Amino acid sequence: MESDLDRDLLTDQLREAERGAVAPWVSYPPVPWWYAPAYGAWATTYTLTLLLDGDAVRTVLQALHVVAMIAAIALIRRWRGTYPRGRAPRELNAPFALLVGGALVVLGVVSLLFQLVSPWLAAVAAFVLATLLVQLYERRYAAAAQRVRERLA
Amino acid sequence: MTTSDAAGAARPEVARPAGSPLAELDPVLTAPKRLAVMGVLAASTSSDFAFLRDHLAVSDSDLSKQASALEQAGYVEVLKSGRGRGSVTTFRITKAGRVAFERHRATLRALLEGGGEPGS
Repeated sequence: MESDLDRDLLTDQLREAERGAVAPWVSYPPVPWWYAPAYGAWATTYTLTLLLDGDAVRTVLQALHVVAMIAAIALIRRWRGTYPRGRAPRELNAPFALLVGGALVVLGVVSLLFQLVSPWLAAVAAFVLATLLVQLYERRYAAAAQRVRERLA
Repeated sequence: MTTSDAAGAARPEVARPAGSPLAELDPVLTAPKRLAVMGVLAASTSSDFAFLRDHLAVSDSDLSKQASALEQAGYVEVLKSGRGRGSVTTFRITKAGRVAFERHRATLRALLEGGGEPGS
């Protein structure tokens, strides 16, 4: 009897520890509607910097894009109240792979359009493809996060 | 009366029943809410008061009490920024805290895999 009680207590404790350990990955407020288009706008404006003639101006603007991305991450961290680190729950591996692979595809398509068709078409494609990618990623991530919560319920 | 573990953190001595698997565990972390706090902090760069409170579904005073116990044990550091209503309290796990949490979690798993018997 005592050993069964101990076992139940141990199981409860481990479950609390595991639930805590995934919380930074799977507990977050709803993503606002403008989140994906904001990434699309960033991709578009970055693409457009490639049209600029002056190296110095182009470099400064591209550096500002990097600063903007870092600032966005800091704001996201503040908004969420936490920022995950370490190994993510295994269910999130697929959405991460989608994001990385998708980003490479977007980069490839936009580069080809820029060089072979039209820089302006490339800028439009950057907006559309980046927005779609981020939307798809957020949906897949939300579904994976739900599976994590169900596993530890 | 307190003892120090290998990481130098003070750990309060608590009477534990002899022969029970729970005797092998860190007494600071056997409280479920404290363990959950440590779990969150071990998996984050830092977490603020509101996030921890909402995740644990506890009151402000309860979370403050749990966090204070962890801070006294040297497992958590508390950072305050801003003033008045705009102030933010953030928690970060210490090196000693991370070691203690990982050890506690590994012990729980080992005990459960071993059938919960002491020394298995």
